Amino acid sequence: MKKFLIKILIFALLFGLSNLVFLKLIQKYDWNFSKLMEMDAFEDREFDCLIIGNSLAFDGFDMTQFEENGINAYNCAIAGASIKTNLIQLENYLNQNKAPKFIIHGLSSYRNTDFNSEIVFPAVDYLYVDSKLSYRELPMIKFKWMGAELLKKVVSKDHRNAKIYRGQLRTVKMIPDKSQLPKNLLTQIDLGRYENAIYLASIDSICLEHNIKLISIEMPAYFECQNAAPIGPIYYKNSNGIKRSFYNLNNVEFCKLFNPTSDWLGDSHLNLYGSQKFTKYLFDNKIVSY
Amino acid sequence: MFFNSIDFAVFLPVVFAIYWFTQRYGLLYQNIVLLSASYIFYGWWDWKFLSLITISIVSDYFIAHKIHNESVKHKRKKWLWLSLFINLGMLAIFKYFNFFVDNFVEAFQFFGANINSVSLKIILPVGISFYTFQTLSYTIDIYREKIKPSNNFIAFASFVSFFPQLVAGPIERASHLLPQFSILHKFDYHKAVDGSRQILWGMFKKVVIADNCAEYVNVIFAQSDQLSGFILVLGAIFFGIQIYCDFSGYSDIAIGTARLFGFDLKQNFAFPYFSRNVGEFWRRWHISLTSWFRDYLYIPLGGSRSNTIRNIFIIFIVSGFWHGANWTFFMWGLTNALFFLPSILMKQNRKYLDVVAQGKYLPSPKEVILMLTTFGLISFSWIFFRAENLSHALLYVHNIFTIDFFNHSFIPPDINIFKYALTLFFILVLLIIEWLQRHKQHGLELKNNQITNWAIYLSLTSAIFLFGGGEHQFIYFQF
Repeated sequence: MKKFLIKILIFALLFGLSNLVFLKLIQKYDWNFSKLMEMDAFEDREFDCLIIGNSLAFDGFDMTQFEENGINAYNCAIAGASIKTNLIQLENYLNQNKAPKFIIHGLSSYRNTDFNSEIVFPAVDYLYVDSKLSYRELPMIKFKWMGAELLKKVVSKDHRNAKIYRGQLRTVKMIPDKSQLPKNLLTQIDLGRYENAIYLASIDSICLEHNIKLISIEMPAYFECQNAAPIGPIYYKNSNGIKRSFYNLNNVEFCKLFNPTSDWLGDSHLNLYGSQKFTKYLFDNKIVSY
Repeated sequence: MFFNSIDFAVFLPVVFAIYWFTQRYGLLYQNIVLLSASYIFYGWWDWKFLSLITISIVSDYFIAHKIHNESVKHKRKKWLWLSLFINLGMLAIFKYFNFFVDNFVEAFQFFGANINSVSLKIILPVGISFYTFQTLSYTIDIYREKIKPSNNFIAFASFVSFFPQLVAGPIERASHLLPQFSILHKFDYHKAVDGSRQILWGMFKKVVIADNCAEYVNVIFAQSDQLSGFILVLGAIFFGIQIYCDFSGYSDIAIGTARLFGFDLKQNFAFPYFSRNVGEFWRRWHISLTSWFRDYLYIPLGGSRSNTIRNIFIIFIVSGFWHGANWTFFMWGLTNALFFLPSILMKQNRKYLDVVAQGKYLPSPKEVILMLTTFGLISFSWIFFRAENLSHALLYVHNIFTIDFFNHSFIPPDINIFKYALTLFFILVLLIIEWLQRHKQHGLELKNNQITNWAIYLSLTSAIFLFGGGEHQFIYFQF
């Protein structure tokens, strides 16, 4: 019995060690995690612009154009982040750094993303929210999907060659958009989702409090997800009764800007070429200005 | 309580510790610990289920004594019928009542008569088909005077409700398992290590392979009217792999868990997809159920001595209905009977009693063709097993042959390609390991050096945690 228990103990220790090694690996090599670690180390930074959002914003904004336009910007967007996650990130950033002049919030509404989702991105939860004592905190459970992402880097040259620049994921990988436009294109955005979005309203409040200009954008997506609603700005009243607006850049006419063969990275995500066109449009049309 | 749940991860070490601690107090205490643990394990789903298993235990314990003590044959038979009535009655009510009523009503409506349907709002108690068959074999064996009734109620109750195999088998015979509750178990290091390995292997098969395949199977079967014939064939193959890894994975965990407590359960799967004909497949697939039907249905019907073809159809169709009250299972049984029949008629069903490619690393081309053909036939029959209903199954089969075979990509729709590639890689790992281990009891029966073993343990554990699929339910729990 003693020998068996010792073996079980060794197994548990080795498994614990494997979890630690895994945690160190993802902290160093996972794009999201390493970016969050970098951001966590920011102190008294004075960026002109922060970009927040999920994966669409992570690779959708060409950060070099911000630099060329004299804007000191950083892309804080994280793949798979909910709006609640964006809020937590923003709060933590503002606790340690100076408020930026403006924030661009890249939103994905095309799949009816739940704006009130309570899910917090695991690495954000790990870094900023008090950890609970639970088996779910084991790195191999908490950061499970990062294991697959890490493996992608081992086997895929495209993944290895992708670079992070000022928080933007820059990759020239191309996956053509072979999807079709829906037969009944939506001509109106469901504003109720915006009006009832509690975490969007919290971000609005923080921006008002810190005198930050907030630019909200529905990000472009594949044909199958596009709509025929106006580009905007579209106005609505948030859940605090404050008048707000957003740009609908998932508009079918606007999305003609992109080459379906060469500008996408897959599943509605822009690659480097797509992000260059997209960001140029934002500057040319004064959507990004301060 | 599911084997792949955190509840079980806490439950098992606690029961293990208490069980071996009570060793010093004797057999009775060991059995009481197991019985209590089994009741907690089963009651975790719904405490109301405990009443059914208690009825089975109490009635069969006393009926067995009545049969044994009775010398008049027709009176012995009456007691046996009572046992059959109680056990099969519960099964009929909870599993088949609504099915038969619905079909009865439909049959009347077909002839123009309208009768009101009465259906019971009942949930199927987990594992009822398994423990019912286990207790039935006990009373039948006593009737046949193959075994003597247990005089130890706690031991008997522990045998019927033994938690590792309670809800999805292996269906044990009293002659094999019950005597193990009459001996004080002493901790056996080698048995415990081997049991732990078997649990790990079962978890890998279930969580990494079955649960990932489930995602593709669900998508393909749900969109079977839109996909190419190739993808539909792929769906059937994936389901074949899913159900094997799900059920044999469960059996591995059950057998491994029992070994931690010093018990030996019978092998339930003997690498069935390396079978060279359907006859061999059925000697290697769900062995405890197949042998149950052979001993308690096929042989009493006359076996291969008389009406062989009729008997084959009966056991396969009954076996189909054992899985569930749906015509899809009937068709699954019928299809297997048809596939099994040629080997019976040509007297080939007992041709392959050995392990394929015995003593060789690789199979011969002929063996490869035979194994692939058998796998193809069995995968075809799984379509009926998996389909929602009979029309879905028939449409699925129809679409394989009518929708353009390659009019879509080779990849199921709406899936993550990287994860898909990873699943295929793990299936390859499974195939290689099981091929190399096909002479043994399970895939992780190792004799390597310590470093290799530890590397295997950690790799499999990491794969379970990092690459496990989203599906959690065991398929056979619904039976």
